[in-house]
Order: sequence, then C-alpha cells, then structure tokens
Amino acid sequence: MADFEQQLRKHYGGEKLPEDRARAVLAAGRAAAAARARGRRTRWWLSAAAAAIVAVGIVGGVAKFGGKIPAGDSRRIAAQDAAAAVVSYFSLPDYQLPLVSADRAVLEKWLREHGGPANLAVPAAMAGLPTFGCQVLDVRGQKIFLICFFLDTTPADLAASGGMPIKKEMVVTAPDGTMMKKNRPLVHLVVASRAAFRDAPKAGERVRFAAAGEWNFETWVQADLVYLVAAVAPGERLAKLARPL
Amino acid sequence: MDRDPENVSAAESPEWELLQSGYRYALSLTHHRADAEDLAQQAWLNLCRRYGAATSPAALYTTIRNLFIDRCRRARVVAFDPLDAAPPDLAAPAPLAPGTLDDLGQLLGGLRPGEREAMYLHHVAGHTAEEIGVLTCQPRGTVLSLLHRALGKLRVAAASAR
Repeated sequence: MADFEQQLRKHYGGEKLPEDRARAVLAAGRAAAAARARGRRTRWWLSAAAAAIVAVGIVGGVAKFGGKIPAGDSRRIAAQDAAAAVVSYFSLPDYQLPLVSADRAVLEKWLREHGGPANLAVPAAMAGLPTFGCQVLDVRGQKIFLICFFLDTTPADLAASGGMPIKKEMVVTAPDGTMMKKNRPLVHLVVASRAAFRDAPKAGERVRFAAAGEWNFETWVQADLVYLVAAVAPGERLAKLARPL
Repeated sequence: MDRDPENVSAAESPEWELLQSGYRYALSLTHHRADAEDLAQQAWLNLCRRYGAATSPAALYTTIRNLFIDRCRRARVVAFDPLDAAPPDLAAPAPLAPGTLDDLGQLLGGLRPGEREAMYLHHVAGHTAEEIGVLTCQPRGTVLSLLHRALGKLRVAAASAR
C-alpha cells in the first residue's frame, strides 16, 4: 500500500502546470483582482450617489404628500412570478422538500402550521393522485404554499410503497439496456392568498400561461385564494387535472 | 544558467504552489492535461475576480470541482451508476511497461472521475475520508466506497495488463 501511495504521489507530483502558463495565470489573476478593487471603489461612489438621489426623492415625496406615502402594490406578485419560483425551485437537481408524505392530510396540516390557508380545496382530479410532499416558497416577500403530487403513478407503485411515501426516483431502462434512475413526473398545486397577487384572475375565470420550456400552468381563484397548477405536462392534461370541484 | 530573481520568487511563492496543487487536483478529475490546465486557470481567475485573491486550497478545489461538473453538464456527459452489482468492464489496456509511471497513468485513466478524485485527495493530498466527504459534499461511507472500488479496479486492471 505504501509503495502504491508512493507511486501515486510520484505520478501526480511529476505533473506541473507549464511554467509559462502558470505565470500567465498568476498575472491574469492579479489583473482581475486589481480590476475588482477599482470596480468596488467605483461602485461605492455610485452607491453613495444613488442613495443621495433616493433620499432626495423620499424627502420630496414626503413633502408633496404631506407625510402620507400612497400604499402601492409593489410587493404584490403576479401568477407568473409564482410559476417562475416553482420552476426555479424544482429545476434544482438536489431540491429537498421539508416534508415528504403519502398522506395529504399530513401535508395540509403542515402547511397550515406554516401559515398556509385553512380552506385549501384540492381539485377533484388531483385529489386521487398520490402525494409526494409540500413546501413553502418565498416569492418577493409573499409566501406561496405547494403540495406536490405524483403525476403518473401506477397501482403497482402504490401497492409497492405499502403506505410509505413513494420514492421520487424510479428505475428505468435506457434503449441500450442500461438501468438508470429517473425522477417521477410531479404536478404541483400552488395556493396563496389572493391579497398577495396583483393580477389574480376574476372569479370563475381560468388562465392558462404560455409554457416555459416544457412547463405548463393554469391558475384560477376560489374563495379568497389563488390556485396555480404547474407541471411538466401538456396543457390539455393540466386543464383536466385542474378541473374545478 | 542564471534565472530571473522575480521568476525564482514567483516559483517559490505560496500562490504558485497553490496553483500547481489546483492543477494536479484538476488533473485527477479530468485525466487530461489540457483540460486540467484550462480548469485550473478558469478557477483561479474566478476566485480572483470574486474575492480578489485565491488563498485557500479548499476554495480552489471546490471551484475547480464545480467548473468540472458544469462542463460535464454542458457537454451532456452524464454518468449514470449502473444498478447491477457487476463492475463495469474496463477498456482493454494497451501494451504497458509494468511498474512505470506511464503504466499507472494508464490504469488511472480506467477509473471514473470521482474515484480518481478520491484517490488523489486521500493518497496524494493526505485527506481523511471524513475531510474528503466535507470537501466533495458526500457521506464518508461513499468516499470509502469510492476508494475501495478504485483500488479494486486498479488491481484488476494491473493483473490483466501483466
């Protein structure tokens, strides 16, 4: 073993970045560091100038409106913002849901404990799907609440799980016969307070977004909640899943 | 031959040593000199642009590793772990000169990047499995498994080359 380690050390020890290249890299690094330092000084002055302009604007605004700043809806989000947050979160290769459970009641309880709505109504077509987990996302200061369902799950998968949460990954066979792991497709039901949205659909109206990549979304309003269904699935399939109660 | 004093000091400076160790680490990942040079250069410049200097081996190794993963993804080189227990067949080795460094280099070429990386960090850089786990965001058991599997593959490859 010691002999092997010695050989390995000798092998890698003999490898060196060519001297010219190493000098060029170090010089380029020093130049990049110097440019960064110059940029930081410039940014400091720009930040100071911007802060001064903002301060003047605030003082002017306060003077004009007599201290009453009009309540704007700048913090309210659009349904597209919520959709983008869902896509961005589930595009992470190693996302981890805080709670994974095959029991929807457990997920709904967890969401309620984390500020979720008490009157959440899952569409009938989705109520039959097995659940995967839930999450609360922060979209520009507004909380949105998600329940994730497995989109294509066979009765055999359910039986095999024996009441335990079904695994996110499944084993598939590639055309060349190689066994590999692949994520099961999910469909996400997003719920948030209507007050958090600036352009929620009108009651009874259902809005389907333009697909982002392979993602499709459908949103509607029910009671005081905005619902959004998101999945990597055809729009027609999503419409069937999101059918009203 | 007299050397330029500035060059001599550069070659002995800590940053020179750090850059060289980064290159060797990149080589353990890529097993390709030109790719390793590019990785080490890009990682070094990224650190200098972001933090003003590259001073920590851990930061340099992590940057190199992330760049390597990015490149693999961009090139759509996705490695799937076969689920069957049988180890993958190694490429038939070309005629080797047993016991030479070229021999070892060729054997290392038959390993997967993660296995070579674990071998380098453990046997050359002297890190424990626990430390490698922290550096590469893997459980200690996975690191030990990688080391064990890499040694096994090297043994098989060396035996078949004889």
